[in-house]
Amino acid sequence: MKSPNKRQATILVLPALIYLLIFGIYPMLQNFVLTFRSPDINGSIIWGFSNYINAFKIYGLTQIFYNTFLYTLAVPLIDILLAIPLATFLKRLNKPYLLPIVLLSSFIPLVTGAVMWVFMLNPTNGFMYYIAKVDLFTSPWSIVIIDIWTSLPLATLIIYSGLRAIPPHIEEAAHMDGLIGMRKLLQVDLPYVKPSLLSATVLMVIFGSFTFDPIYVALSSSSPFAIMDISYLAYNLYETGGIIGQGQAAVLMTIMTVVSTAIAVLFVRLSLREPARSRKIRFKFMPNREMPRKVAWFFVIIYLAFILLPFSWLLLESFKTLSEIISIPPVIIPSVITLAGYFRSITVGQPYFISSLIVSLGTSFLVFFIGAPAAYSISRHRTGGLKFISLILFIYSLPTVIFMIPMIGIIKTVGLLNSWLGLIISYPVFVMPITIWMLYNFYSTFPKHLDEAANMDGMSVYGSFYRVILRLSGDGISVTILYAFIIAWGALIFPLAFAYTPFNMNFLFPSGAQTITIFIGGTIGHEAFNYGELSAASVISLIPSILLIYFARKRIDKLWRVGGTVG
Amino acid sequence: MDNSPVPQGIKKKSRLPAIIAVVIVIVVIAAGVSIIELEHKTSTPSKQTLVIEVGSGSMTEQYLSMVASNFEKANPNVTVQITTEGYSNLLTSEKSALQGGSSTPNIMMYYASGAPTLGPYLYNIPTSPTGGNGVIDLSNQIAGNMYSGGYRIAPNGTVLATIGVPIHTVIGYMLVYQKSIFSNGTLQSEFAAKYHFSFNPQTFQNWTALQDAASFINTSTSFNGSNNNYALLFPDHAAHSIIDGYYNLAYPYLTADPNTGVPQNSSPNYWTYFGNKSGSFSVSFNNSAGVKALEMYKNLTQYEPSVSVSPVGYSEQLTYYETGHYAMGIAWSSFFPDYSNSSQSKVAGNYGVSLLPGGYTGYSPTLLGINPHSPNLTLAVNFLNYATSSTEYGLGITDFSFLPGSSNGLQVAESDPGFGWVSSFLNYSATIHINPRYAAVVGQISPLFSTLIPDFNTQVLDYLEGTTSAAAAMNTAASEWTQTLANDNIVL
Repeated sequence: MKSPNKRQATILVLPALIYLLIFGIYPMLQNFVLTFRSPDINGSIIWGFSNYINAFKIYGLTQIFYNTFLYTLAVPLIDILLAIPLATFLKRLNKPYLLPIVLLSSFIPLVTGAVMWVFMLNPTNGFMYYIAKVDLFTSPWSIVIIDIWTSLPLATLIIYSGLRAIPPHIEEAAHMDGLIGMRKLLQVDLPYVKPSLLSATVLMVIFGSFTFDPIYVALSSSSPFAIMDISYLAYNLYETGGIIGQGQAAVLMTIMTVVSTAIAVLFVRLSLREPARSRKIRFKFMPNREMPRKVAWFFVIIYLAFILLPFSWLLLESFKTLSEIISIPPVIIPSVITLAGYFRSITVGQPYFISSLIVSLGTSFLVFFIGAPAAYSISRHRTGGLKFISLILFIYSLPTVIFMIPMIGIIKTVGLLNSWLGLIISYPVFVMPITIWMLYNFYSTFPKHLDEAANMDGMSVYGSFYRVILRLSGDGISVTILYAFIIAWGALIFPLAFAYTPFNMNFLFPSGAQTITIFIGGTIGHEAFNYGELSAASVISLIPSILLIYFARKRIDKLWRVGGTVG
Repeated sequence: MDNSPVPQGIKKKSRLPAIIAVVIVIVVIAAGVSIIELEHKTSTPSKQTLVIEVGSGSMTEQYLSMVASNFEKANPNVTVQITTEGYSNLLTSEKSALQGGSSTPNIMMYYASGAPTLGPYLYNIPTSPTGGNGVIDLSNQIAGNMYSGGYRIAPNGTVLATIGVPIHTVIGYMLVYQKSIFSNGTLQSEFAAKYHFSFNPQTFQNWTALQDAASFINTSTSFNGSNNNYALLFPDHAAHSIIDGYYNLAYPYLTADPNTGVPQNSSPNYWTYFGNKSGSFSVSFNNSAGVKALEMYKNLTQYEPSVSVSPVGYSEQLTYYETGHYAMGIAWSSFFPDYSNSSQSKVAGNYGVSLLPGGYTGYSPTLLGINPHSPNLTLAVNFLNYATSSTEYGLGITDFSFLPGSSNGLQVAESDPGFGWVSSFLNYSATIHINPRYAAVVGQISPLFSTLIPDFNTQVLDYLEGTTSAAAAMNTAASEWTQTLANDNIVL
């Protein structure tokens, strides 16, 4: 029989568990059932394996698998190789304002980032004209570049946080051993931050393998299969392929689920494995002196140029007249400043901004209310043990597209299609796992004496959490809500699937829930190409992310470092 | 002494009063909202609202915004709301609304390519030869437009329903050209001396003539193919435009060869990719006619930046041509108002329009359909009648250079100085005969956009880039199409 504490700890987890079972596991299973459904020659539904056979006959699948493979491997590999030096430089320079600037591209909507690059890489109208007149979007490496631009800052943050978390006594010991600079990095720092490297690698693998937003934006600039991956193909089949398309898409998503399960299992095993005694490798050939600050600055400026150049181009485009935007050769500095794009974005885009704000706020708080107690319970009371953590990581590693069709059924059944509430209750399936994981790490290093003291005071597990722990979790909670908000703000697949009109601007009887990501993605038309409006809307969509990064700048790395109070 | 190790500042006070206060506030707000709603319902006379969803930035949005205002003045108890949707989401959002049984939007704009997707869900609009209250006048519709998305047609050619009314005629493709180049006397003389036919795009008899003109312009000293100046802008973007470009170009080749099964006078469209051979339909382009057309396609794309550098899609057809760097271009008629906009276009006032070489073109109208779940279907139909009336179209022509979707509307346009070319289109339209059985083919092909078009475009792109031959490209595309249709149990 469970002790009262165990019972209460279990109850803390229950809301999150129930949510993940209904909105995570059930859709996944339903997707699996869809793989066996197809129409016969008369249009009647039959059950069999024809989708499995026909899915592999889709034209262009070889290229699509290659692209998926490329994004899955190249993105994390290049990310980590670039993130380690950048994190090291940032630590060397120790300037608090640098990290928030570096993080910009990771915290903006993916669709906005993709728009920036599509503008910039256009060989006729974009900055690319002055570098090389080639159409990069004929190659999947264009998407790799965009993915790296988006994910590198996050990888850097994780590794940087790990480096900052190296205890002082380790640093002192290294100094006493005469280790500094590159030799210290390789012999001491990197081995110590192996968990951070592992976390960063797995997150980047998941990020790369389910690339969607850049493909969605760039596809109109590319040939059909040049940049498409399995995630996008599945979405396309769901939307345009009828019953046959849905079945084939379900097959592809099932394959991706197997891959993501393997990733999740590998990560759990690696992260929970006892660290092996590593041989001490002495990098005697490496320099053993501190890197000159000027050198660090030089490289950081190169990184910042890579991160900030697309922002700059977008900003310039947003103030240009259409004739200057489409001018050949491209105009860099506008000769005439116009705010027409901004006026139209703000007026026409208002319903979308409102929806994004409300849905993102609602999701953030829902995730907090459900996820924070669960994270605490798993971390402090080992509720569910390894199984719950594995479940969370498993759901996080699933492609978002897999939830589309089954979730439409759930949301339609409860009458919440095309509504804010429909999006708010569906978003946590891809937001909550990462936030629970972050808070789990946070509470893992939270001082245990606080729980003990609360227990000694006669508080129950609930009381201990809500009246003591939560009040002292400011750092963790605020950054978690920040992450949840930003992920929700940039969501694209779910609003595409679950909302079909913009907000009707009637707060008493609201209807319509299309978000700003749909507005941005849809500004390019069939008859009109409102580039000014598109770039202005994209600039505006950056504002919440920039504000949140600014206000959370002092805490942003802490969630990957230490938790709670010191001592 | 307080020995509690709980950090200072943590007060164990009851939260019950705060909770009660919050509950009271919520109840008061809910009560207030209910009262407002009740008063709103009882005190305000019921006003009907029509919600119309259109593509963001489209010409139809502009036109219907004007029409909506006029309709409200004519019908004071009706409010018309125009909501916009981005092009990439328009079809999926409308399909979601229809499948979800939503009562709004009441009227939906869709392009011809969206008809097979929305067709099964749209309202079957009542029609008659004369029209009337809640009924559309079918005699006022252009057959080419109706068969390009206004009808839902059974595989055997039976018209099952009238699902949409063309609101905006979009003609494509057409040939545009800079008048100053073709009215140059010196160029006219030189060209005629070399090629022995007139340097006048209005009279080009075939695509070879166009190629000759492009080649000539490309080498002329006054507009040579360098320094960002090009003779011809021809769509070659693999994302989509290739499929449109090819059927327009290949049409005369395929209809001239009886072995292809493509009927004469059918007007180019997606159905051009299929031919009726011995009573059943199969792909029409894997033969010598199709190969010849593809070879001409490649010839015509050599007068613009390479496809691997800067492929030409919708966006480029609009924006590149406006820069004035192109002597000629292949374009949709929906771009013409932008070409005429002197604030952004360098060819404003200097471009001419003609049918494609050989005197033909295709239809790709913008249509309006009605949501069957709308509370007032008669009102929706009456709005369509109002929007397609000669009076409203007359205003649209004058204010927005809007090309009407109906026959009467086009006759009004014909007399407008800005639409001088409409006469040739109307004359051509009179020669068209579209077999409903033929028009029904496209609607049966569910993987057209998801699979067949990308297949085809990829093969053509490979050919344009020189990695395969024209024959291999056509044969591979045909084989892929046939296989896909077989896999999906689609029999045409």
